[in-house]
Amino acid sequence: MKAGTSSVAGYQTPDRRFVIGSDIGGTFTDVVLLDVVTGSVRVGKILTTPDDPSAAVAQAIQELLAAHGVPDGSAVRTVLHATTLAANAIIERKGPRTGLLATDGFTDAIEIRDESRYDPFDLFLEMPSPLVPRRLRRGVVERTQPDGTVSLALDRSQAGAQLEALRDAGVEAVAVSLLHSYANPQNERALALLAREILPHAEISLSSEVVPEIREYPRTSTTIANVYVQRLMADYLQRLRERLERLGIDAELLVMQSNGGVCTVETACRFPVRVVESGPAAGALGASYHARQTGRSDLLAFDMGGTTAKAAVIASGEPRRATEFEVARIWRFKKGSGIPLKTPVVDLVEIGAGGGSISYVDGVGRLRVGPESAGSRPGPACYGQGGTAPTVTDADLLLGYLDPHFFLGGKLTLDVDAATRAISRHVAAPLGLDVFEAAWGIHKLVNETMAGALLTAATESGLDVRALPICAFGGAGPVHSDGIGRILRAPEFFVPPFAGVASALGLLSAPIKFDFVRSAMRRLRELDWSTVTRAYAEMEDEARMMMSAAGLPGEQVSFQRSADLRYAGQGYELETPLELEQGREGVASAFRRTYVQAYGREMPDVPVEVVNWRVAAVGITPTLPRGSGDATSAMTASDKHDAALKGRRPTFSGVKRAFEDTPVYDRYSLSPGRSIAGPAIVEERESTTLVGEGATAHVDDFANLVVRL
Amino acid sequence: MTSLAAPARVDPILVDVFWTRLTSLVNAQDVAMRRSAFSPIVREAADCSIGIFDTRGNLVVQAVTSGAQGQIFGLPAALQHALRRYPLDQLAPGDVLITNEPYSNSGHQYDVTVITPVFAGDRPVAIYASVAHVGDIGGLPAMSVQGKDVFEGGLILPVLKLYSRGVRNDDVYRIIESNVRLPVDVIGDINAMVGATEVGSRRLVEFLTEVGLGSIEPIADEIFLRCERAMRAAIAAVPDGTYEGTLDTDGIDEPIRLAVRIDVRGDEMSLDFSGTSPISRFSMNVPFTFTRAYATYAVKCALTPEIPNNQGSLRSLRISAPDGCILNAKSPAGVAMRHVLGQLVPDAVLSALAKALPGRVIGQSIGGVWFQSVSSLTGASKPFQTSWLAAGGMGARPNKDGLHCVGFPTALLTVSTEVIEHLSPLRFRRREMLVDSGGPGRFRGGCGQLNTFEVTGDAPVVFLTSADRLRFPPQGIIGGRPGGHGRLSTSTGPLRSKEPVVLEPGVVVDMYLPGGGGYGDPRERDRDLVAEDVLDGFVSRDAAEHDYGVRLDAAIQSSEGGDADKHRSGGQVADMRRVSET
Repeated sequence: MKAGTSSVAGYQTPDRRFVIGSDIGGTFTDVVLLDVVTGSVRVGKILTTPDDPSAAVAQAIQELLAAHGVPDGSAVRTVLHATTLAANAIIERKGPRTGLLATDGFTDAIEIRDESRYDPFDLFLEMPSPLVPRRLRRGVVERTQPDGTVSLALDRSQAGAQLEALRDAGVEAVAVSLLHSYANPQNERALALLAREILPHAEISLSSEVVPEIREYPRTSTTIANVYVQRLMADYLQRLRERLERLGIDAELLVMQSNGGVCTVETACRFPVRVVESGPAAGALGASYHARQTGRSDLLAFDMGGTTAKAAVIASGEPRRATEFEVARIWRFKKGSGIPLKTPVVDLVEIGAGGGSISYVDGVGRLRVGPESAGSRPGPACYGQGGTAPTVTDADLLLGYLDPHFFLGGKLTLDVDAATRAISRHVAAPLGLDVFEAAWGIHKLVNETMAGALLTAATESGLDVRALPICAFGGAGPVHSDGIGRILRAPEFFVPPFAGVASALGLLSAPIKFDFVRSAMRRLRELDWSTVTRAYAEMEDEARMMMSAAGLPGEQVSFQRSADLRYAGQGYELETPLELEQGREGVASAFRRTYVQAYGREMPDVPVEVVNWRVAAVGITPTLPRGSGDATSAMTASDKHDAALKGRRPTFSGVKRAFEDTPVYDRYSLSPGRSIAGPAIVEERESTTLVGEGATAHVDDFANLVVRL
Repeated sequence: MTSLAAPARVDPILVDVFWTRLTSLVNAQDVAMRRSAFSPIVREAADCSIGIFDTRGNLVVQAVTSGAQGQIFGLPAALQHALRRYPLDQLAPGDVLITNEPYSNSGHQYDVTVITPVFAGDRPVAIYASVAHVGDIGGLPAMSVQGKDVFEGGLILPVLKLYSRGVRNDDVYRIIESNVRLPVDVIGDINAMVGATEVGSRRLVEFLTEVGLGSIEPIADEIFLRCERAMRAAIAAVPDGTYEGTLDTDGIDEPIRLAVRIDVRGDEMSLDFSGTSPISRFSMNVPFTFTRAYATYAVKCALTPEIPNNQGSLRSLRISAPDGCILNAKSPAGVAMRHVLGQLVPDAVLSALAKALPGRVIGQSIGGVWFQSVSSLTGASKPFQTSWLAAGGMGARPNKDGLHCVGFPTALLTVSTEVIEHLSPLRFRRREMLVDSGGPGRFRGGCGQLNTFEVTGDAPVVFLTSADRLRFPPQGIIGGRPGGHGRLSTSTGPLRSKEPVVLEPGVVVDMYLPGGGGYGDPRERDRDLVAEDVLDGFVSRDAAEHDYGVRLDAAIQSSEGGDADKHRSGGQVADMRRVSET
């Protein structure tokens, strides 16, 4: 189904006309309500309830249904949900006492890690302590060979004794990760049977089921994280279901995964590690939805909030994916300081800089921003909550980019004097600058930091960043995108409607999706091709079963096949889309093309090696109606000539190094097609867009605010 | 004190923006280089570095992710050397230089440097340089110390044009291909470096155009000045005086002593290595560029870890080593395995600084991480070659325990067991942390590890390990005790280190990697921490009593089945209880 039609694919039943998306963030819980018949979208935002996040979700849904006159929860067909529960449980170490069974001699893999020190000059750096302490890691006598041959069957009595020791230690969850189990899960399965006898009430995860991929450290780490959050996730989703039922909602509940698709509650409970990046993935998915809707196939999704910013590369209308990421980085957001999770994920770059990031002058007299953040308490100095440290938001305020009386639509009045004092004292004075030059420095430098991270991200995914438009959202994204876009030489950036609830909205466009993988490290030309077709047949049969259990008939399922390939001898794989019908040679040439795109030159004589075969089974992607609801209704109400011009105020021009009088527009009063020349400010309730000098902004047919740079 | 005259005022915001941007550019190219490299030691272990220099050859920024300090600090020396052969005014757009002369580069022929001058139009504006440890360079295999001179250490490339005005110099490529055992890997690594510096150059020129800068020198000078000031301030904070340290280590036929004397006067510091053992007849001598690199690294770790590395931050340091000493090797001394001693230099320097800066130094560490190479014999039916690194414990810090199983001073990565087993007939039995290997102290040194593997298959293999600290373990500091020393053995007898040996199928090898030295008196260690260490098997009950004076009661003993923490109180135990209750 094409964009712009008035109904949503798959959701045609008029008496079940509502679809809900709900996203829990650190501060706010966002809910959006889509009426699939009229296509209207309504949004709600309330404070998150950290003790039981399902409470805020239910409350927000209840309020939204009431506010829009929906009499009965039974009119809701689907609830899509993104949650940070799994990530928080790992960060805050809230999981149960967890044990590990690994091949005897290899129980320390998660503590030996990859042996790197991620910051070579910092003598004081720290590593995350393993989720399973050494005393709860036990070796079992068994061995599987790289080719899958079991050279030593599981010693049941020895393994039983180890399990009893874990039981006596009060372990409630057990991860099982044996060497080369990706090649043959036989010993892991035998161990699981035994574990269920000895620890009948414990959660048990097998590495060959959670992540059947080569490399024992990330595989074990991922399996542990999975079992560590399993019960918390199950309990939470159970509570959420009960709360929804009390609202009369008996709709299907789907959970957002890190990979950019949703899954059933059953899958989320079995593989909770797959939903760790649920919220950010939904945001990236929303950005890719806007990309497809507006015909921009490649772009950068840029979400800048209070503490961090996240960015994702969207290529051909889909978020780029990675197969591994880190959760719970403990040392200045540094790569290497977190726990690696090997699971398909929307490839997100996390940058330790947001509106609340603190600026200071370091020992070299160098201006720095972040990663320390003032958070929401005390928050930036201008929040007037006792914060004295200068933050990015304070700088944006002094530069005139933010209106002290229209922050969060006027809910919070910003204290300009406090911001001035903070920047004067901590930045301007040490650098010998006036306060506005200092504020400009902070703004400019945080833009540089973001742009640098985006450049590295693009390089890691083998893309040239310069051709990419930026889709900006999050509270602080739109005010920094002009500057970041210029650094990256982006042609344009755009701010989608409801940019403040982008993740919840993104959920509405999420297809059901399951990922499957088989490891098989081998040169392509030495491969028995029938093993490949067999592996795909197996993976896809399993996918069809899971899809059918999720209510999707076979004809609505498509398969995206890919392989992690490299030149024999290389250490990094490149995920390459596959057309299996073209056989071995087709696979090799697809890899060579992808490689040249990424690294500029190929290695003609070097054989190609496969590490993993992958397939993603994807259901139909729901098609949302074009921009409607709160945004457009507001738009029609005030579609008059200059109703959009709210006033004027001085803003700092980085080019002129001086303030200049700048028009301020109300975003949702701008009619489509209307063009504004920069410098200009465009305000909406949850964010402010800066349109720099020489740029022009207009509202497109989908209610996006598009700024051409 | 030296007075630093302020130069003409440069817009400080522009400097910070410029600095951040250059760092972003160089980091992106570092990623590109590693992702496209071939040799495991480059791509998996990150034994490579890349930097941007000004047209005078001064290092301005360097990628922050590189793991090899010898290269980080050796790259500037390599570049200066190359510019003496090919001054910038003799180079043209599209030229790329290559060299691996060991005494002026990173110390042995394996480290190949690629240099790309950056032009805006016809005018040189900067220089990109990168270096990587390639998979092979000819000569005796696997960096063996048995080489009698530098020529047995492999192919030497003087400063040559790899590309001339954009045209590839096929002669140079052919010479390299004909002299190395793994031509595909080595050429792949070199191409990865060329590709990274090419793309980096293009982006740099775009950036200079964007900000309207004709040259990076004025801003580079401001950066240097700021870093010089910061380094001088840090040195000025060290009490004036002379501080001495020595470090003894295995050598081949006889022990080797590293001696350092550090003089601090005002805001200048000098380090001299007089008293160090003389040149060895084995190929483990250290060119001075490599010595200086690791001495500088140690000083920066202790004094100014936050300050980015560039020319300015090094101006107040004087480093010297007398002629004829093993830390100042000259041609034709063999240098293939120079890293073993060179990477012990930081431990010697930090030990010397202990009296001056007790809060900024750490116990000794493994030094050079152990490099293992394994390959088939010539003529084998299934030829293979692979390598991996193995780290030991890091020394304890002034306020926390040492890290387990990491390199110091290097920060290189190892390879997973499953991958090694895919690439070779080695089958591992253990890769686990070693009880009682962390040096006792108020803060404990990090644990080393035991790697045990069996040679399987039906053909013998050629194996080499660079193992060191077998006789002289990493020492403790400020009253801390030594970590466990390294050990090597096989099921059929002893195993020689630092030279290739043939291992028959069925032979089992045990490699015990050393642990880090402790910090402070072990009797002052928090008793709860000792008990935790016993529960986790980092410290044995005997050692708890003997080294720390902590006798653990029966309650702890019962805990080995798990219930221990019930009976105790304190830091981590409280945390555990919280976890168990949620």
